[in-house]
Amino acid sequence: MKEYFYYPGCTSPVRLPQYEASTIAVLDKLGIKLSYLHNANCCGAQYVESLSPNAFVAMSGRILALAEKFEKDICVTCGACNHSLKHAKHELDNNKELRIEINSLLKEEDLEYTGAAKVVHLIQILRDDVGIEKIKDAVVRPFDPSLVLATHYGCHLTRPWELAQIDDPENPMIMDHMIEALGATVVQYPEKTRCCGGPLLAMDPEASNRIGLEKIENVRSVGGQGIVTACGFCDIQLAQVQFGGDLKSEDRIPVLQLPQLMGIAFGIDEETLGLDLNKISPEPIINALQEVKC
Amino acid sequence: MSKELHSPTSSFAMEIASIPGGEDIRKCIQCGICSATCSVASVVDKYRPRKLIQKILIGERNEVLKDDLPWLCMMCRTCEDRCQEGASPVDIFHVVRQLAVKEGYIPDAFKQATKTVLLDGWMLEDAYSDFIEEDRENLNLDTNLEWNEEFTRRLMSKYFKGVI
Amino acid sequence: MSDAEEPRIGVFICHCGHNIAGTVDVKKVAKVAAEFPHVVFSTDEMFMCADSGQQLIKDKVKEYNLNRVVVASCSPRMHEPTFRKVVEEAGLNRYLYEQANLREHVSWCHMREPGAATEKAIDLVRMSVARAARLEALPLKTVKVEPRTLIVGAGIAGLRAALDIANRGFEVVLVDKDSELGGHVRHWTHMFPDDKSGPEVLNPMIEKARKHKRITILTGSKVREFDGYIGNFKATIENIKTGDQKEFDIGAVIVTTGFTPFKPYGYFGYGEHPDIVTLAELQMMPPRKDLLKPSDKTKAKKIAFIGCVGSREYGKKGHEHCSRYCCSAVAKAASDLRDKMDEVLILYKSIRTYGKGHEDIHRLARSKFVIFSRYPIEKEPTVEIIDGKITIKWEDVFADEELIFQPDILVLATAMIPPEDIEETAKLFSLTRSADGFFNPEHIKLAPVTTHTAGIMIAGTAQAAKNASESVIDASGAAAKAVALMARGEVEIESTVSHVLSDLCSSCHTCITACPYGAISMDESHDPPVALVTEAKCHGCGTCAAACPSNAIVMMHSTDDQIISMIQAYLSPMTESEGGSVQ
Repeated sequence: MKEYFYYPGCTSPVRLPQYEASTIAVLDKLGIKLSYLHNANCCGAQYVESLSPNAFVAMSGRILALAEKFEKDICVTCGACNHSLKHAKHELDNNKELRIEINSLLKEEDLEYTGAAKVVHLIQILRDDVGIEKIKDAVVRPFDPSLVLATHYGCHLTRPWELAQIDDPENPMIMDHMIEALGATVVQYPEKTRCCGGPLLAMDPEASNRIGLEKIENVRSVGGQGIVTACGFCDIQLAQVQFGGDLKSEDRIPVLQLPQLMGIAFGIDEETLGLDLNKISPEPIINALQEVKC
Repeated sequence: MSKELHSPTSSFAMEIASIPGGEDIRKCIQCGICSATCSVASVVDKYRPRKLIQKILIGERNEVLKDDLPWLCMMCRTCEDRCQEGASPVDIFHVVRQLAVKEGYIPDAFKQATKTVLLDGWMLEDAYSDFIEEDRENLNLDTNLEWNEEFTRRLMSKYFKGVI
Repeated sequence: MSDAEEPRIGVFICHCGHNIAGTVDVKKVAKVAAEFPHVVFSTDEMFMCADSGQQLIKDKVKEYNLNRVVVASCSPRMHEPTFRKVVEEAGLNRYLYEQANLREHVSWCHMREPGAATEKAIDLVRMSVARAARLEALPLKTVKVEPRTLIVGAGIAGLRAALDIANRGFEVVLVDKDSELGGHVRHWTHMFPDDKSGPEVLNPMIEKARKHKRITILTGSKVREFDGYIGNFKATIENIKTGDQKEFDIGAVIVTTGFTPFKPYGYFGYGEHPDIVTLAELQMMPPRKDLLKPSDKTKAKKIAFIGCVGSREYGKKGHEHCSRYCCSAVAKAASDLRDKMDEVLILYKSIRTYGKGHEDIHRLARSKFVIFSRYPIEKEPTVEIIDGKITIKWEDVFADEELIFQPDILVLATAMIPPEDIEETAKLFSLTRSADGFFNPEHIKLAPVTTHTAGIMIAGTAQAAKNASESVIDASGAAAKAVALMARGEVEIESTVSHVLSDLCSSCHTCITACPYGAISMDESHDPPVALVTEAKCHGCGTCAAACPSNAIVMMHSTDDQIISMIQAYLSPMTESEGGSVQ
């Protein structure tokens, strides 16, 4: 069984615990073991990132050094963490002076960064360690093709390409293919690669909501019945914005994370997946299952 | 009494270019793809990445460093993906933010969030209520991730003295 | 030479696919035409100009012993030469061919009235048949071509053309009104896209030209008189200072008289301050370590450029065109000067760095921190002299801000406009000019270096504003045209020209004044002298024939008899059913 450290980031533990639960359950089913990385800190995305590039690398660098100490690679489920850790790794691997500076800070805790630990996002694990075929095989109750879903990758999963190395930033399809393997139909929608608007919440909440709502509208305009995410922050934002603006309550579409969707098709029970914690009920999605595969 | 007119100077652009991440300021040809692409620009009228970069190129240092505009960028990097000259407005604005901090300007939201994360070691210490702990228990998840605040507090004194 | 035998006319009505047949009932036209006087064969065909159509003509000429051919199809401007050749290949004189226009004159303009269109088509074919019966075979004429080319203007284009032609074994007479060779380029210190100076580019060419045994160079000279026709021109060249004249027999001419840089008095303070100069004047300053202000010879530390000065001015005649060279030239100059300056500023309407390597010059300027600022088209920058300082105020469109700048030197990138004596040159060589003032090419896309005057080519900025590399491309093209002409040694001229019946000529000179091509002169060998048409110059327009009060001029292939027969055929259709001919 392949093992990874799970670094959930700041947001999921408090706001989206169901994302962690479904990730652990689904990967377990697929033969991957996750264990939490304790004693970590925030990766420093967004705020520290803007104010001090070195402090930013230090924060993410510490997480990498921690994983390195206990000799396991890191799995992340948040897009921003994905970017932060990969950015820190890139900087530390290529900038000797910076590495010396950060290591001098880590020395106090008996930690050292040498670059041994790798960082992968959940999607990379699903694609590279598991593969679409195995995902297909694990499906117990495929979705009915009448279920039409849209995918939201978020910004930091695919951009910048040189760092993320996950999928084509202009036309990402990896998640789409995985969902199709579960039986559902995936629909393309205008401005699929746009940001969810989340990062703008701090400076201009109204503008942030408008950006998020535009995305919802775009998905609805092509008949999308639900949105599948691969970043905790995006998931929260896309659910949240549907409770503001002009959107009627009956027009709200469920937002769920990829492992939740997969979990349903794999026959994992709703409690384990934490489906009742989703702000917008995923009932219509749960009900769109075909008969049990024999 | 009309405001005194500004006389363009390249010194601000040179300053930005000398800081790592700011080199891309030399590449901008003002084509406008970034503004056309920007999600923030589509909902916030006063925000236009191209305009902000031109302000840098003509040397409006005070105006740019004391404004909220460079802090409105969401860092989604779509402009970076699309820029035909291979420039990254995101990286340029990161450098602008660093300079702004040096000159003593940080928007409150950023100040607060940074302070919180450095003191607590992570963002949502205050929001981690009993209800949430219970939710995690019900899901069989670790309720105590033992977030480390000691390291980030050291970073606070090393990198953010007098800033926050 | 008229045909004594009975006309045997073949009529071919073309469908032109759907173009004609979609509106005109071509089968009906062919059927009716079969009954016209002298028609022994009439048919309709899908595409007359295709191989099958052309072969059809040849086959039927043989089968029916046809001695006249009428094709009713598109405009003669499309395919008259094609069908004339077919007819010639079938063994007939090419002028025994007549074309009726059923496309541009019928189907394309009467699309919604098929009935009326068909009637009109029948009328036109009847008219053409009537004329065809009266057509006569005309002799084919050629004139020899003198293996010498006159090149007017020895700038970079003239020099390139001269070397191209001389290297292929032909004579060149290279004339320039200036005492030096090299035109404007010899003054430029920095060319683009590479870094060579004007003299560096030109000197090898000038040296080769001077040494070349087939190139005759006449500097400080102008073409005073010019006469003749293609292959047989006569040029008189006069030395401006001494007045000495030389005459040359010329086969072809290339006009490379270039441009003059616009001096923008009234624009942006030009002329009000010695430190406000044009880009041309900047280029002419001798290269040195520091750029010095023209006013007091101290070092210049701040320089500003304004683009599009005197160009792209909608509604101002002669200044509406884009001068093409300037955006790239300004970017290059700015980039070159940046290292010596504290600031370099470019104010622009657009940035058109279109050419090979030009965008890299733009990028280089940007990366060197040259400040580019776009001003609105409807509100140009203002320039004032305040306390002796040049003060520019303008609105930066992208920063949305009013700005001010006081440069040590202000450089205006001004338009390329025609030289002062262009009208004189145009008259001399019978060239027309376009709206931008430069010479008109024969066809802007398909024939950019030839003109409507056969044997006279244009190249370089004489044709339109462009940069030096593009002028050289033109020059080689024009040179190739000249060489093609001279290498053949002879050229065919049209036989559809006017002809004076000297017995009827009353020597009134009316036709000489009327002829727009100067093709008629007095033949002194008669007493009194009578008018004589130089057939190689004649374009067959008919103005002389119409003007002649004595009816002494015949238009070959468009005689009164032939034209009147068409009118009568149109006005008296009833005789057709009786099978009689129209008189």
